[in-house]
Amino acid sequence: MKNTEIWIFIFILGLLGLNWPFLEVFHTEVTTYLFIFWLLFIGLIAYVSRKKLES
Amino acid sequence: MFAPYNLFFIVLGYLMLLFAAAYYAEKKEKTGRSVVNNPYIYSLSLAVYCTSWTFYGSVGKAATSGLSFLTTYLGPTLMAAIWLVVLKKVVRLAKANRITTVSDFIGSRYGKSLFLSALVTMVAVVGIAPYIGLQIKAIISTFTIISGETKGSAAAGLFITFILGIFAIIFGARRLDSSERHGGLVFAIAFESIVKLIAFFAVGIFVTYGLFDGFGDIFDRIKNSEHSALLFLGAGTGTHYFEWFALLFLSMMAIMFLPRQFQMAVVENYDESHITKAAWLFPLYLFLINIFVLPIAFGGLLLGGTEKMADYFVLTLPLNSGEKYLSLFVFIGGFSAATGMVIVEALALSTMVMNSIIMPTIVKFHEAPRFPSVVLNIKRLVILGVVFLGYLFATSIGEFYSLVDIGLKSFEAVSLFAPAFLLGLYWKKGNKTGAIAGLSAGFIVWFYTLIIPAMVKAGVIDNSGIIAFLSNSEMLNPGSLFGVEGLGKWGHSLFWSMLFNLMFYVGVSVLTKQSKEEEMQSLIFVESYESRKGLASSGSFRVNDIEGILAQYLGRTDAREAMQDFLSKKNKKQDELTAKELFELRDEAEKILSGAIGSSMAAIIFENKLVLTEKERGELSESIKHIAESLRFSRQELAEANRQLSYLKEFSENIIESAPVGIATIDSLLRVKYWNKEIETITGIKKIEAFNKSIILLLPWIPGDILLQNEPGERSFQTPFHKTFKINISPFKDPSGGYVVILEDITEKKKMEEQLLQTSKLAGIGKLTAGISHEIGNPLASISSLVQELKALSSDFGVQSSESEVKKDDMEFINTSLKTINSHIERIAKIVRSLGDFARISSVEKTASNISEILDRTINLVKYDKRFKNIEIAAETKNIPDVVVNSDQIQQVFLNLILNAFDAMPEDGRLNIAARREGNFVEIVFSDTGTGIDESVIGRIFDPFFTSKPLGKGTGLGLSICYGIIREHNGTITVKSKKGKGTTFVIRLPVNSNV
Repeated sequence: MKNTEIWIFIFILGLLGLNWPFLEVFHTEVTTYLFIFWLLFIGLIAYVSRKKLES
Repeated sequence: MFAPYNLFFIVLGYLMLLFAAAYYAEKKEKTGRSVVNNPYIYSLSLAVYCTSWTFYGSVGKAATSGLSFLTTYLGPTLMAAIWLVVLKKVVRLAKANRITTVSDFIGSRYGKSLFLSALVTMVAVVGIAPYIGLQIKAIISTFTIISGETKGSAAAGLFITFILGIFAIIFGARRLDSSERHGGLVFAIAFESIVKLIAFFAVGIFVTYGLFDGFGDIFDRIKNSEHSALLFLGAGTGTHYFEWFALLFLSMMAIMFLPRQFQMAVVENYDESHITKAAWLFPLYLFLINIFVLPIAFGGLLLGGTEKMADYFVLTLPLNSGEKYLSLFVFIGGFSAATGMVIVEALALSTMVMNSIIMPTIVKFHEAPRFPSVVLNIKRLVILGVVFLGYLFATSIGEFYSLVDIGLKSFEAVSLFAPAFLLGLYWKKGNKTGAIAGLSAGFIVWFYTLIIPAMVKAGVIDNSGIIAFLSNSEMLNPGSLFGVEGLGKWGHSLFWSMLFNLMFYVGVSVLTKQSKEEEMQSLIFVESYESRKGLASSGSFRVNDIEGILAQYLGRTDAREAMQDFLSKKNKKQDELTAKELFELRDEAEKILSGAIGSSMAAIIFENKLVLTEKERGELSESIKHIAESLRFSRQELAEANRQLSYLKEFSENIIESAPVGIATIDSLLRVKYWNKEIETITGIKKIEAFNKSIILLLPWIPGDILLQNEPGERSFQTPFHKTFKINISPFKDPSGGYVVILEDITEKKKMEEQLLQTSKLAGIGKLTAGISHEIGNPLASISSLVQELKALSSDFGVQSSESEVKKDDMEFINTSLKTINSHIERIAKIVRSLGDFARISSVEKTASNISEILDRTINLVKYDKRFKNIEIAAETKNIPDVVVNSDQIQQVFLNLILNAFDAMPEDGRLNIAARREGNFVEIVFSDTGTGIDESVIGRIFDPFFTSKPLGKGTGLGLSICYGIIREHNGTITVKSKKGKGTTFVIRLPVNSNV
């Protein structure tokens, strides 16, 4: 995948993960879900940008 | 509680500290050791996003609506994922065109439209001024809370507002050029970001672990309380999913288009690469500052706080618990959050107002004395004006709304820029008329659906007459436009304003045409086409004209400096500039002026001042058409080339990855930059582990010297774990240096070679055995006959009676016979020993050896062969130094050559062997007088399995093995031959071989 495509993919992944229906799926523990997803998403950005920087 | 005057001096002290931090950063920058030019300060400066809304308002929002406050921070996190695509492009464009504000960016994209730029500025001022007011409101409110009295709070607020304005002027408006970076300001904002984060953490830890027993305790209690709905999303809770999405979208737009974010992310960006790190560091900051929002909000509610006072739980919780100094620290944290925003927002808005509204009005007075300093002072007044506008808002209608309410209205206002800004970056057809139509339509809907109800609520306008009629109308009710309900307050306004904005922008752009200037600007913004260099070949203006124009707006010194910079860059004098360079200078001057007064005004000024002749205008227009046409074709070619390049890249990567040898590339500092699959298998080190590490540390068993020589080299070596590798290193031709390393595991190959060598050796022995058997057979026959004789003599001794009777002759015979037997046995033993020595398995070691001795040993081995009795061997060796070789292998080479020579001389002949030193080599020449080799096959004699001998007489491996052995010793073996005239083999071995 090209650089741009990877970032757009991550963006869409985040957009989906932070909206309905995923929020409904984790309805009972939505606070925990939001914070964990948020942290993982930041980790993903950091990981991909590091990999891209290396390559 | 703190006395108001004490508190005032504390605040003043903190502001002094900020001044000191900013001054320190500027001083460092002047000495060339910038403390600002790094991704960490850049990321912290972006945290100017976290205002008093974050510090106080998030807690208020969490206490009233639950989780929806998170959208304000999740939106920017999502947006950060595409910063490397969008923000990088914006930064690049802004730097290339000296764009300093959002309004300038949008105006510049649409043909440097002054009207559009002014429209964006007006929307921004209307949308953002309340937001500044919200910060000042927060300062005044918290000042009142912590001092415990309202008396003097407004006055202190006014004075603090004034100081903030002064701060923005000192660190942001000392010069007219807004495109220059403000290192001191950035450092102060980064410093404030740390202060507010620590302060929020402090109060968070106090509430969570001081007032409660941790997160679990607070969440358990809130679950069992009347506020349990705050923990959920969706129907029946405070936040519906559509509202959630709308808020998320608003904050995504806000992080891109809020003037202060544009100032920090784009104008104050030192290096594009900082964006890469900021893309995760900034979201991480947002994550950290939000960890304690819910515990503080829920803690406040559980301790009896009301939703109305929730905005200030952060301050009231420690204050009511008697934690005086913690409250003060929290107040300073909140103050930091508010001041950072006010300073940067005031600076950004004032630049927008100056460039788009004031400059176009006063530009006609440019010939007035000291015009540049007048302009600069006006800018300073505008900064103060913006700050005081905020103050007025805070003290008038601000108290009717919560912090979040005001902030979200601003977010919606700046979201109106999204279609013209974002689509303008990627869609060339979008034009000025479309952008103006879209923005105007969006603004009207925003004002109608959000601001009018707010003004009615605040009592600014009466809910009577036409307003009452509209409010009661089914179709035009601002809260449910066209009868649509259920989108939520923010979702409703966002939906309709964005729909109208987009519809008008796209629709009008499709239906109307772009001007030439717009076409050119769209190419620059969408295709990243770089300026108009070399467009025209002539120009009727001079350096002095350009300098004169700049001097009118920037002052003579700055104008002179700009001209000198350009001339020194070109390394030319003023009168040496070509027409093309004059055009470049004009372009550069326009960009410099853009930094000071905005791109639209700069374009107008240069257009009017440096009027082109009719002919030049025609040429320029033709050039633009021509370039636009060429670009169309170039784009297609570029796309095709890009496809081919991608294919080639993939293809070459496939080759490298599928290669059966290990391939790595290293830079000039021997750090690994590429590591293919095979080298992973060979070394057991993964690509990710190897990347950027020193190859010497990764593979310590590689001979170091081969890496240090700057020329191609190949070497075989054995590792401590008994593996044999061949390494080949070639330096890159690229001037930046580096090497390609090819590593091949030849352990198996080496074993097979050794086996082959041994087989070949045994074949040689087999060949010799027939001849040597005669050499052993003769002495054995002689020994046998002598033993028979001695046996007979022994029987005679038995018949004779005494020893004295043994004849003297017999004794002599016995002695002679025994000597003969002994001599024969020694001879046989010697032959057998020679054969045994030769037949044993060779070691792989190379040692310093004497070539003469190896040659003698080989000749001794073959001289016993009866078939060679008629062949004369003449060996001559002269001053030969020791050579580092594997003596067993070299002996095998010699033996093969001698046996081949014997085969070529079946009757008789002569074999001359000469060894001598030739420079840095030892040369050994084998020259026979045999049948010779046919010229047609001489080129193939070293090929494996090639033989010129009759079937069954040779394997065809002898010479090929000789060739391999000599090559491995870094030597050469050559042959000269003529049919019927004999053959000469020449072996050259290096004397100082370090193999």
